[in-house]
Amino acid sequence: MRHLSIRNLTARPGRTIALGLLIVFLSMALFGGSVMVRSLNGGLASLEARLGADVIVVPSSAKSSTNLDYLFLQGTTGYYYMDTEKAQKIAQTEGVERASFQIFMASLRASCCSMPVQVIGIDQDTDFTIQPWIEESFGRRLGDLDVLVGSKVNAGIGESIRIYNTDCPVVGRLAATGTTLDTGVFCTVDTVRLLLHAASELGHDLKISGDPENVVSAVYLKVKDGVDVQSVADRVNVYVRKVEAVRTRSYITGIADSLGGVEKTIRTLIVCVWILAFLILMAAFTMLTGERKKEFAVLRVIGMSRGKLAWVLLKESLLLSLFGGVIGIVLGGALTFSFQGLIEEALSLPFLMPGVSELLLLAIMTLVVVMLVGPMSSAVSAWKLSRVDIGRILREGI
Amino acid sequence: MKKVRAMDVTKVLVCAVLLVGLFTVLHPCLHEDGTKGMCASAWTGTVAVAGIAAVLGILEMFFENRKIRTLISVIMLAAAVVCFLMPGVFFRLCMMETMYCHTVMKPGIRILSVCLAGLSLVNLIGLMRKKDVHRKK
Amino acid sequence: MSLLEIRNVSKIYGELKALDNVSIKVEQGEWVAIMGPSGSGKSTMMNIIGCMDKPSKGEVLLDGVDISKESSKKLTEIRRDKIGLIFQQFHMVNYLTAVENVMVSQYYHSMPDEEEALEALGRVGLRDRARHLPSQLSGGEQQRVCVARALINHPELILADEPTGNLDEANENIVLDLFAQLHKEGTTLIVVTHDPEVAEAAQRTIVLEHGRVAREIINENFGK
Repeated sequence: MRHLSIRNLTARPGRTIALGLLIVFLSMALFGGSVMVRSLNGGLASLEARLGADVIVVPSSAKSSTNLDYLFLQGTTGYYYMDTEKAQKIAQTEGVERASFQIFMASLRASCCSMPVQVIGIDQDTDFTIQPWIEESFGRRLGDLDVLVGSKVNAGIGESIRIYNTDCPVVGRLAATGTTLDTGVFCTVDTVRLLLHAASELGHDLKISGDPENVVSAVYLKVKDGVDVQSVADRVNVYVRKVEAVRTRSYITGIADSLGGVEKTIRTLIVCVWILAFLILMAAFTMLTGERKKEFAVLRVIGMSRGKLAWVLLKESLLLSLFGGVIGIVLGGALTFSFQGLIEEALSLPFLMPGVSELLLLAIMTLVVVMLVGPMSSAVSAWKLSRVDIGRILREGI
Repeated sequence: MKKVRAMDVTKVLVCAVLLVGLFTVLHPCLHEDGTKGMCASAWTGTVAVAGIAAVLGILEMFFENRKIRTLISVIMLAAAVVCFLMPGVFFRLCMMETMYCHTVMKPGIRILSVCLAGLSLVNLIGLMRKKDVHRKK
Repeated sequence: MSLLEIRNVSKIYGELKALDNVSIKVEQGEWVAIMGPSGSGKSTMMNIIGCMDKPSKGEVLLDGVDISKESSKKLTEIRRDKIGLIFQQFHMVNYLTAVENVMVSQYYHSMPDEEEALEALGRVGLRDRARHLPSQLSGGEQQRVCVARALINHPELILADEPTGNLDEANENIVLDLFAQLHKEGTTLIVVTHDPEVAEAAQRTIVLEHGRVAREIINENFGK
């Protein structure tokens, strides 16, 4: 008799499944939405941590080969170069504390991979943006032709990537960042220069005017404390020709704004789904009240108190909420995790799934909320049913 | 008229959805020159196994013998597991995890395989329990 | 002391007096029928005796306790402990088997005891139907399960509202025979009915008309 609630749920499978599905849908929406919001926040935080530099300087030609706004978002492969003399001039701009440079190139699909990959060469002695992350994940310096792959590059340690007929052994895999760095291949500037020569020998036009030994793609600047970052960027733009200096902060802010917009949309959708579902659940429980008046009148007659009666009803909705909640969380998690690549692509924002402990916490919070809403929506009908006019109902057979 | 079992129909439907999916949304990566990516082998393998599972599912509808149906359910469960492991485990997918085979094909196949495995398992448990009931009688 | 004493009870709904200054006594072990046409107040009387309603005026003493002043919670307890109720429309819990319907009544009284519940079903000739759902039982069988349910806690009073109203003659006789058996064992029975033949099975019939006791009929042939 302790299991009266369970027996009632199993005796009416159609009704139980219908209500259960509603709760599954709610819990999926809440959990899935929460994971997405956390992933977006995680991606932004990761991006902020990875960027490191205050100002990034690229050749003006970079504008035509890639949309600068998506430089950090979509990682459009591109070729853009400026000579090292210019890079040194940029590094010597007043207010600059540290400077480092990187050389980019893109592979062709045919040469190694399923699709072109962005190869990023760093100067291990001066780099302060990617090098710390490499040290964190890899722990030692790269040799010639050694490459490290981002978390989304499907090449294992010990395998080789063939770029312009040159085999580059994969010596490590970097931790996920939720940014386009995850699809990159990282090596030293010397390796990139070797590859540029190799590409040139194969007859590919890499749009370099001059010697590949004397080019860089981007210069990263760290500004001295107390110096206005914008003024340094302005100085570079004024005194160095044919370059574009941009503040990374403005991109972060821009991304944060876009992210804020997406988050707001997700949260609004979640709230709307919940309000609608709460109302539907309440309506469903109220409708079912009419069906069950006789049942509860009988139980009252044989001695069930009002409180116990209300508790039986609440227990039913708690059980529904528990099972529906758990199923919804599992489904929501499975779908979000399975299709995270697609979600990332669709949103075009940094996206880093939270770790296991954070996911568990989100799951528990979702379950708590679901288990509150279920009984809340049945509370009114539980209260009404506990106050039925027993005699009238049993006589009239309502 | 032979009674149609809802479970049998559902399993066949899932196989059908998987097969239709493989030839529509869950296709392998296509390069600009029209050639298929590295993931094509995984796709082909999944098509073959899903096809076998679909045929078995249809056959099961015509059998009443509990042993035969149990055997078919076991094979379908195995087929579902194989389909799950096909992309990425038995066969490599394309290099970049941002590619279509990773973002759409693999998760789609896996989700449907899990559904099929779940249904086969439930069916199997149901068949085993019937056996216990027969024994007790 | 009488088991049940109703003193000057009235039940008023706005302008309508469903019961008007009614006084009745029922002794321990008596079998009383309350008869009357529709609107005579017998259902109201049933509700008040069965602790499902309270009178607007007067006193109702059940086993010495004035239940007309008690709280709803207390009335539930009294109903659970002292009264076994049987209704015209059986009113079983649809998703519980026959034995479980009997055990539900035990659960809120003391402790469910399946063997005791099966014995109660055995008394009404339904032990072999214990695992059947209400939908698998005939009307007569369902009513007998309700009788078993009403008896399981050994109440002092069995209160039955048109217990044979939905039964055919054969099942009616079975139920009335059960009541006769219970009466022999010392159970107090109050049967509310509009059927004179059912009323004739009792020791005494109280006839209600327009909310008042019109007359009392002693059944001189009772027990013969």
